[in-house]
Amino acid sequence: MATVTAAAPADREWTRLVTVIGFGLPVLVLAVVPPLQYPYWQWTALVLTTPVATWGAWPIHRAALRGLRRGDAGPDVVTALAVAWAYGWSLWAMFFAGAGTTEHTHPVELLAPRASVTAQIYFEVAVVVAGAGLALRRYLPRVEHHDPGEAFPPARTARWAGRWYGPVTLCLTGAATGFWCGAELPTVAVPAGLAVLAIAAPLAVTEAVPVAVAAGLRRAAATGVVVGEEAAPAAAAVDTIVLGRALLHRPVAVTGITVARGTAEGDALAVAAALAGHSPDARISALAGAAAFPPSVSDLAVDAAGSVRATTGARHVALGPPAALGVEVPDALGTPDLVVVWDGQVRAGFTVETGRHPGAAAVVAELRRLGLIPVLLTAADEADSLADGLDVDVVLPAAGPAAKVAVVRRLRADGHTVAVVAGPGAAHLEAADLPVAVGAPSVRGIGLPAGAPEALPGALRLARRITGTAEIGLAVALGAALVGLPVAAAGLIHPLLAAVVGPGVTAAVVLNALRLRR
Amino acid sequence: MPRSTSAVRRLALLVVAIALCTGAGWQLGRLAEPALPPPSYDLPASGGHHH
Repeated sequence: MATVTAAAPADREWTRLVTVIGFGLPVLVLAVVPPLQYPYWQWTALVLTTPVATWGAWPIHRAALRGLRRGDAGPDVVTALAVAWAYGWSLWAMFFAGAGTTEHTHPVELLAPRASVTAQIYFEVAVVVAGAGLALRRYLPRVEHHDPGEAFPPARTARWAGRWYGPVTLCLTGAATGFWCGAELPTVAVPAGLAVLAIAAPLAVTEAVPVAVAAGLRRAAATGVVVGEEAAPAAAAVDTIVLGRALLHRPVAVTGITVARGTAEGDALAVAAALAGHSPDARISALAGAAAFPPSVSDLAVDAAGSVRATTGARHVALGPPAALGVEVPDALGTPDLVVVWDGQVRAGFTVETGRHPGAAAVVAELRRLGLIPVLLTAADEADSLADGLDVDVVLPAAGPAAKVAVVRRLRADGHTVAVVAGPGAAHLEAADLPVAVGAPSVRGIGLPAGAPEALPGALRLARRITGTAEIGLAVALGAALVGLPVAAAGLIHPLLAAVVGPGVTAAVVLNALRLRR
Repeated sequence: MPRSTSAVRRLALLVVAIALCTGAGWQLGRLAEPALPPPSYDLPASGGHHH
């Protein structure tokens, strides 16, 4: 038994697009190259255009009908009407206005024809509008879209424009056609109305914003930064950035070890690791990972400086700063920050570094270049060490979470748009216009990887670029409509030129937005 | 057929708006006609109708 398998929809649409191009291209070439216009060429154009305008453009017609059933006169309705107008008028001209005669020629004009004859045919316009419409319907859905929320101002404009674009175009088509008929220039009325539809059909004012946002978010994810969709417009407006230890402070790092003669380094590290985990001091506890299998300890005692004393096996061991332990460090061990001691002797010394991240000054300078005022907000006791040598405008020591929130609120009340960079869960993050969480994604703002302050300027710049690209795309699409539609309605451009400009602008806007991904 | 009364209302509004714009355009065209350049009767030398 034979099995009939329907082609997958994607295959059918591909076949349709290829067929439309195959049939439409000769029509276009015949129309724009007069020397090729052999006697009765227009009948060839009619034969080739008929399947393009009907079967080829069927997905557009179907989408238009579905839209009308919902009461929506969107781009599909405009496109379908443009195809129907171009094809239908040409048919009428061929059969009833003398365009089917052997003398018919088709001059190449950029401006709309003002000739007295009504025998103009527009088969090439029908195939270009249908072909571009099909191609855009096929490729635009494959481009990643991300429709941002209401907090993204360009998205609001795009949605508003998208809602009114179709109805305004249809009304303008009516007005243009009415005007030229009223002026007793029906030969201008047809191409002018058609040019309005043709230029408007593929001008996707709704494409610029979601494509730019999706491309920007994809780019951010590739760099390890999380940019929330609301971050993009906020980053464009931010003028002040509040920094703190979450960004500028580097975690404690053990940078050197010296061992006394007769002591195995492995023994010293094992003892240090066994004691370090019991100290509340961050510099001492940083040694906790020094050995994979530290020995077990008993008789623990921790003093005020965080030094730890204990017994392991038969040994009395201790770890801490030499002064706190009351021991003399042999000259051979240099001047370590921490020492490990057993049997009354210093066995090893450790150099521990902490403090500001080495890239902090460069990051602050970069933030300045972005036009931001860097404000340091941190506990009073470490404000000096963090701010030392940094090009920060104001140092505002704040005692606790509530004081930090108050500082951010005051900055905003003074008219600043404030970004706050802080650890996840910090209260003053939520008080910011743009929260930048270090070490965690932020739904509303930007999430930076921990220990990488150098990622901050890039993330802010990307967030600004997303907004900028979306706004430029929207402005180009709307600008093309605002200029193109009146020019077309005035009968100043040929419908074929209009049919080429429309998809060209849309393609340019989408391709420009996709540059954000690189 | 449109699926809901709100869809019908929207379509009806659209048709009325298009009709109004067309009518307004027509009136404007009639007013502007004396000021507009006359249609060109010159057709390309390669052929066509002369009226």
